[in-house]
Amino acid sequence: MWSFMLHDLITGAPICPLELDSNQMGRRINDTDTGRSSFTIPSRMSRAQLLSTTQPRSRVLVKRWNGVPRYAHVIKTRTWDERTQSVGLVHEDLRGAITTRRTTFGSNGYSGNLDINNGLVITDTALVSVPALLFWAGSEGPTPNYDLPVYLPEGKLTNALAHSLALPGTYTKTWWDYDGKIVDTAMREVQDLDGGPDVFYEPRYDANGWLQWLMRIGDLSGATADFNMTAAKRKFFDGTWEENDGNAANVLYAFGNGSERGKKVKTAQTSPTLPAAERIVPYGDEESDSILQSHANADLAVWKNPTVQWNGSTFAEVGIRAGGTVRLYHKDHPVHADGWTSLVLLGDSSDLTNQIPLSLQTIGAPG
Amino acid sequence: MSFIATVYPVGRPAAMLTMRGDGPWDDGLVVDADGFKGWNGGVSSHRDVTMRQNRRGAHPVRSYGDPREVRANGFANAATHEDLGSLEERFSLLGGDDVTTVMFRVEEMGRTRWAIGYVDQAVFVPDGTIPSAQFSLQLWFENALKFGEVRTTAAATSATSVNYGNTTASLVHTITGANAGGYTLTSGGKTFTTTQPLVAGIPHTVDMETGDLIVAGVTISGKTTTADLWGVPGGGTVTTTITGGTAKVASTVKDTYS
Repeated sequence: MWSFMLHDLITGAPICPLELDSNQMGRRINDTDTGRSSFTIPSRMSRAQLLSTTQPRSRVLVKRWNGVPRYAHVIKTRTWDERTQSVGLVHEDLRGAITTRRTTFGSNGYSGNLDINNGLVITDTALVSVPALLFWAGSEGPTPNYDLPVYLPEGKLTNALAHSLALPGTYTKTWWDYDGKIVDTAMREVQDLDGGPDVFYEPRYDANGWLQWLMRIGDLSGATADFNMTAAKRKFFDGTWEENDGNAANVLYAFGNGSERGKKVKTAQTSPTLPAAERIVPYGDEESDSILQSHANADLAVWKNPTVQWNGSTFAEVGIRAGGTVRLYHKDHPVHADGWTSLVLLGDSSDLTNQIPLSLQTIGAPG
Repeated sequence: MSFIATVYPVGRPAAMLTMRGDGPWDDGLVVDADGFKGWNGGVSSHRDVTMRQNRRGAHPVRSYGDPREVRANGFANAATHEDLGSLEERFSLLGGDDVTTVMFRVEEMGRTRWAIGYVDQAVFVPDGTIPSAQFSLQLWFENALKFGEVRTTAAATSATSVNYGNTTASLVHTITGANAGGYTLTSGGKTFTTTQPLVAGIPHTVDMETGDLIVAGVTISGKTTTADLWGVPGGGTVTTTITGGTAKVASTVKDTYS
């Protein structure tokens, strides 16, 4: 069954359990999720305790299934409703609440007027290694209140660890401090490149019940859940399927820096079996031909096929890792081919019931 | 009305309660003459209808049976108030927070049928003056199916299952033996193939009602290449064969009634 615990953001320390009257929260790979909750103030909780334990930005609401963290949202807003005598919370996942509010300045911060330019320098690095370096820049600053309990599989995410694990590659980029770059914005730039890695911050507990986020980067498909749609008692229900060609294109143009005839453009296209559909994607002041071509290739890979969106629900006890593979088995179905269809779990959401609506997509489709 | 019904929390048969339709009137739970409803006969059904536009009628769509609801009302009688108190506590246990499902079994008309359901209501109101009380038990079952005998075939490369019920029975296969490359179950043109290694001493369970492959209590995903499912028709037989190393299959079926 669901239970809730409030934790401190910086340390991950548990603060107190909470009984909620309503709750809606979710998780999404490569994206953010915002949720809402409400609760009646427990009689044991003083005003000071209430205000401390629900302090926006400082506290994290962790939603657990049978004691295991499934969702973790940072509190953004709290409200008081005089009529219902209840406290309302608006909360958002780590990516939305924090990485959109941290810069790439890193441990020395930035105050301008420097003798030399300072920035986050990435040189000849594999794309899959860049998100950890970026996140580190946002989790260290000139004061201790930048710290976050975010871990890589090898240990707590630090500058030294991220650099020691960085794989060699072809990606080179400097985010100068004077550009004022936000971590999440830079992260999305990297993820949108051809071969850009998936990223998901997965909540977990350490041995003492302190909250951590495991930063999963790259291939997130390590878990599989099978649902046999021909079974009398199936655990996947309320399914819908949609094939949408509205955004598909088989000729992609990546526009970069310059104007008129001097504007940099790179093109990618598939063999012309379907009627032509063109799509132009601007990449601002990008001057690198190779990066523009990479964008064009990546965009073509994303958009060459219609978007196939699957939705459906399962039960909380099934427990699928975000980014994992969901397989559906059909036989003699009016729409779906016989056999297994493999999908990726983009995310899910839940309320106080044990039913979990899933957001699924065909593997390889736009994420 | 002559019947004997028993009910107990699943896994706790020692807490069994017995309800009778025809006495004895001085001890135990006795159901009123018209107090036992919902167990016999079918249930209502539901369908999602789409009406034909500018034509008569609707698009054909089959209906599906609703869940079954059963209610038993009657009197509880005991020799002493202490005995009644003991009975009340066993009865109220059924509606307690730590009881998820209950086994409900009814003997009547020369047959015994059972199903596992949920307690919606367990009311017990003592008279106060004599050691007697009124009770009402309301149960909910996820579908209308009732079951009779449970049989398991011997482990072999071919297992024939019989269903003496009147509607399709689901099968649960237990796979033993060993084969590093998994095995294939077949029946009547349908196939279930898994590449999950079969290890001696660690049997697999293939539940054809859910489609789950379970090994050592864990549901295995991503290891089944073909996952056709089959059951045993009412009054019929089905043979399941297995190939793959020394793998053998034992099939369990419950006589199933609608």
